Amino acid sequence: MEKFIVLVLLFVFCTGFVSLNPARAIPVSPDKYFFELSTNESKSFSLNLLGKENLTGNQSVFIYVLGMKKTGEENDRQFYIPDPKQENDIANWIELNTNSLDLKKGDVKTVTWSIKNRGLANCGTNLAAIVVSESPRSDLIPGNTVALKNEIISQIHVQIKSNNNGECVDLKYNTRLIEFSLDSKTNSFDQPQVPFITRVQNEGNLIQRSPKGFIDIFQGGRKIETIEFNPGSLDIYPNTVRRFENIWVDKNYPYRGNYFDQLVYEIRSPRFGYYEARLGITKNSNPEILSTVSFWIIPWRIITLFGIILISTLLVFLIVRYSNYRKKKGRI
Amino acid sequence: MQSQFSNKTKRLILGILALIAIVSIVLSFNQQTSKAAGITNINISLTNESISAAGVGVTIEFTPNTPITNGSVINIDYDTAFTGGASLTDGDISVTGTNITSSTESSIIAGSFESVLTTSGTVTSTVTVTIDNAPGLTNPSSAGNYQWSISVNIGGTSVNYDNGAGLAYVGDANDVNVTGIIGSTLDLQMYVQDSSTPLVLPYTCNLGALNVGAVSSCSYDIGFSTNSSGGATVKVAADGQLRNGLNNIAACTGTNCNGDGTTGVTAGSAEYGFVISNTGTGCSTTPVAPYGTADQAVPLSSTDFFSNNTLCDGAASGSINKRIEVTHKASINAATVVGTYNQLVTYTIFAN
Repeated sequence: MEKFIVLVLLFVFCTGFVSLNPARAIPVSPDKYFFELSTNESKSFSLNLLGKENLTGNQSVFIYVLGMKKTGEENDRQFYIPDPKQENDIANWIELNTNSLDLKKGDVKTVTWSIKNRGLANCGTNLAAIVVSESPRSDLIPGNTVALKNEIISQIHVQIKSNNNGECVDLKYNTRLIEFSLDSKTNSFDQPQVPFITRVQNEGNLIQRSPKGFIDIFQGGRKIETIEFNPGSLDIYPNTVRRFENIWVDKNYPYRGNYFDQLVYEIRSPRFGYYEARLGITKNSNPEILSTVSFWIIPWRIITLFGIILISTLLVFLIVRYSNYRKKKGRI
Repeated sequence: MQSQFSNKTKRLILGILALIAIVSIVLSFNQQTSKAAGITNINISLTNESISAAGVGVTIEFTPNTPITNGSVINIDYDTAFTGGASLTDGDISVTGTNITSSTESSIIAGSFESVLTTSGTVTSTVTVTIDNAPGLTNPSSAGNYQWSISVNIGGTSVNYDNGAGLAYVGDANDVNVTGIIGSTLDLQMYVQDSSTPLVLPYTCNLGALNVGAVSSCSYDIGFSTNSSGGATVKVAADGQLRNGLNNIAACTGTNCNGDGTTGVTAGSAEYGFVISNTGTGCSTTPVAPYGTADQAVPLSSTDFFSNNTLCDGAASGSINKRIEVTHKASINAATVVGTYNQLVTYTIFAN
């Protein structure tokens, strides 16, 4: 009986313990910082950690700094543990006022962090990251288990205005179009679903924030559609190429419909012929970028239908002609 | 008679072949790119880029190709989607630049005006044409790039013309060049598979007791939230193999864990891998190939796992269908060393 009571108490204790420690992710704000820094200048910032409404009990949170690099032409970044000997890595300039804290429901707790320009970084935009995680551990969990850990990154972009060599006189954005083309092996399409690729290089040493513009679709000199370029407000990092994808679609086209749905729509709303897409990146781009790519829309369903009608008519005509010819020949 | 009929048929066939040839030639045109030419360094900027904004000032900057001399006439044509142009007067428009003394505006109508320049010498550097914002123009009612054309009649002699065009950007209501903190949030939460219950620390995925006759698996959901319009990316990295001391269960090999000739983790093969078993809906989440295709080795260095390109609130407890489901699978063979095997997998999220 005593054993049973002990077991029951143990069960209650364990379940109580679990309910006191339900993990909830910690929203982090902001997800990015952008600021300038001169030699020996210090700045302080706040990183807010938010206790969600469904958080019960205290949640321990751990905060640490990583180095960051931009890689690839898409969204990728590389995060790494900074080498303390690399004093030109701005990740080594960052100091946190705490490395861990406890959070409860409704809390908005602030981590204050500061950075001082030690004068050794290159001119232009330099990168680092602050990481928030619920788990500092790197130890393994017993049993045949996969232990899981989450990390939420707040990215830091620092524009170094001066260093030990003096004022940075060569700070610049310099965007250059590498490619504006169709994301397709052919330049003809059977329906208005035309994908575009734009690759823009930033040859400057400053991050080019949110270049904007439009892709205008023209047919016969008439503008028929405008697509926003870079609706996600993505940035182009220094000395990198960024790839952007856009697609022109007819929102009413029955892309998921059957052959006849599409045929009926194409007959009702015919799109046929030579089109031009004109790209203009006219905001947050130095210099402005202009380019044009052309393509065809050939609705094969309509062409097939009319082809069948034409060939059928031709065949009937030939058969009648041949039949008449045979009759005439028979009379002769 | 027979010969005539035959010729007609031949002509018909030849006609069809010619038509096919013409269509083929037309279709074989390669993609062409071109760039604007003419006057260089044209820049059109608006004091307000919002749709339908009234009282908008315009600054047109350009560098002449041919040195501008006294009496030159600058003709500006712009899209009549900008309204209010007919109400402008000489006093609302000015032209400035090195050696430009004054300008007189005339022929002011909707979409066009002329400026006659008085200069003290040739003008070779940046010329700035300014339309004041009072009364200014009213922006077009739809977003887009709107063309502004510049023609310079050098000396007003109608002999030499420089031409060019630039685009004005209309359509961004938020035109603040942000240099401070952006108030955005980012969140990553792991949940019990198909459930509103978050995983409990320490987060685990338990493969259970492995045996040679079956594939053991465990699954969990990853929810993420971002209010960044560019979306977010999640990377994944393992601290090592699924291991017991020095003994590993071999990570998947081959394109789709088909190193043993069978796609995916297979019973009796001693293989370990993971896969995005469900991408969810509503957050436009895309697995990075090949993690959404079939079982793969868990990467030992931080590698892109999935991303999206829009807003998402998948970390909220009720957003079950917006989450990514990940499944780990392991199998053993008769030679797998007895013991408990484990691994640490870290997911890292950042805004795009």
